[in-house]
Amino acid sequence: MELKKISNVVWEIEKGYKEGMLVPARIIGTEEIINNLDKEVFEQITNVATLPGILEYAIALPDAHSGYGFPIGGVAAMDLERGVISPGGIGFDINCSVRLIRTNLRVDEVKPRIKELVDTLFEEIPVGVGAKSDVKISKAEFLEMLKYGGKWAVEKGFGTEKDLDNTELKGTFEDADPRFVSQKAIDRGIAELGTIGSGNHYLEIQYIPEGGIKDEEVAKKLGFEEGQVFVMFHTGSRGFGHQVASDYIEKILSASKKYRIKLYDRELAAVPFNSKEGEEYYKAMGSAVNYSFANHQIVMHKTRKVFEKIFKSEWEKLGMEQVFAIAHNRATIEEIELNGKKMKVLVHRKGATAAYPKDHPRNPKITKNIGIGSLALIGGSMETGSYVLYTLDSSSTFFSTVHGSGRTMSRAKAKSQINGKDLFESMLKRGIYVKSASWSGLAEEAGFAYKNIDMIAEAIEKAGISKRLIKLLPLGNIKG
Amino acid sequence: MRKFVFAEDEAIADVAIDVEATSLNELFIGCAEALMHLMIENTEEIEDKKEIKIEEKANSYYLLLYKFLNDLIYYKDAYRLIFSRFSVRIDGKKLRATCKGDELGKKYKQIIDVKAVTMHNLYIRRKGKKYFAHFVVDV
Repeated sequence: MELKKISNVVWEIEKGYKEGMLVPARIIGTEEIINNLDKEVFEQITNVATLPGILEYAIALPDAHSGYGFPIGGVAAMDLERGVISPGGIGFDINCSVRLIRTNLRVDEVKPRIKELVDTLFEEIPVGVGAKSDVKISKAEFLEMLKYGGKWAVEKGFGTEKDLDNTELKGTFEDADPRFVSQKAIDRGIAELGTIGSGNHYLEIQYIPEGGIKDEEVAKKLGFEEGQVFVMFHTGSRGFGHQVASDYIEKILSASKKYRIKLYDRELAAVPFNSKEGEEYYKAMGSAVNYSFANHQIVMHKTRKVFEKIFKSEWEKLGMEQVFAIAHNRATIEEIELNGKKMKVLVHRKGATAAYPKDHPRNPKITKNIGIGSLALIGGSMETGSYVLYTLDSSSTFFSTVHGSGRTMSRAKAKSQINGKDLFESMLKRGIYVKSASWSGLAEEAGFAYKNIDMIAEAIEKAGISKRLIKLLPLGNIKG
Repeated sequence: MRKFVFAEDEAIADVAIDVEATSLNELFIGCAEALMHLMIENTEEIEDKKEIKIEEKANSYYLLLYKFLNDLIYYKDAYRLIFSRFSVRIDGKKLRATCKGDELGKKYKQIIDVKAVTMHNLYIRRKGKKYFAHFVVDV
């Protein structure tokens, strides 16, 4: 396979590489990232390039690693009229998202109470295998929630209107229709609403270290200072989203034969967006997006209540406003300009986040008001920290940017290299207190199992897509 | 007779599993046992307090396995049930299974939560008298 160098951070696999490729594949990353890239990514992104209706390029971002069907860190824009929708291009955890909450607390105030804070968060917010919801909800209310998402949650007292202003799509996916989700999805969803889950899902107490401000002017406008404490959490649509994905992958696999779509991987099962099956999946996916928005509002509400309890002050007085919430597993209709012509496309983002330039109508208030592009929240490993970026010019990636650091090593391999309890002790010595549902689950998430997040942030900045704003380091973490 | 192993480096973010058995029914049982073992460390201590029955239909064995394993995940999430004893009968395109187990609780050591069985490299093969299955789960 020949990888053509387009620029220092853009690489291309021409469409002749594989039979059926309709467009080339583009991979964004520095030479170091490309050289260390999991080779399966090249095969998967070129398989994506065979999907009917794909426009311009199948894109892999610097945090790409192999997934099923699509690589994680994959982006594909489909023509709305003749293109397909593929559940595999969205992922199982539909609308899996990262949310950032600011505080006016300083690292010195939080550090002495980190154990108490993390232990209480662990008690109040269900995590781990079979985490059980403590949210009482009837089936009728649940169906309402699937229609309105974050808006429903705010109406029920989980958060404020201001939270929605700083949430993508204002917390509601308008094309959602719960009539297209299965009873199994509903059963799983009711059981898990307001929980974090396990795997790489977490809630982390973070702060801006010395030198962590990467753009002084913008950080000042947003009120970010060194030593300031934040809360970042990562969760999604839980078993509900997974059930929607499992149900529809099976249905769409069968339907794709009817539409004579040649599949290079069963997980790339796809149907025309303009088909009965495509429409039903899109509406079911929207319901899972709304579940995720509501789930996030509930987790944020619980987090605020824990801070109130520990710091004996109302959350508003603690300055716990939501900075932003952004998803990385979703298909969204976007308006783009292609060859001088405006057109609507369906952008699949799997392990990739939306990133809007400053004058884009979807740029939310928090960034529009200060004249910059939308924020991206880049969750790193629990040992190495995270970044907040803002968008520069994302037109080459259909308004998309990186979502995290991406794994380099399997879970089994990580566990074979470190014991969870040893990792806990080592992190504690470095000032990071972790509470996990299992030692084994903790070992799987060790920092060395992930790509270097600094390299990811640097690569996307070199590509001119996003710019580093702040770096955040962990103080405490709860994991499933 | 049945046995399973977790494949090291196939699924970087998730887990790949290989199962081998001497019959198709045993193969499905082995897959179910592997799934539970991935989530719970002490599966041998899961008590037989609850019993559920699963019936599925599919045009291929791999789809039947996909449905069966995803049903077990559904029971874990919706009813907090985990299982350690299975009987499976596959008759043509139909599967009938009885699963015995218990509710999740502190006595069971949780490892990681499996959220879905994927179609990625999912297969069932027969070589001579042995049956092989391979599947990847999303965690």
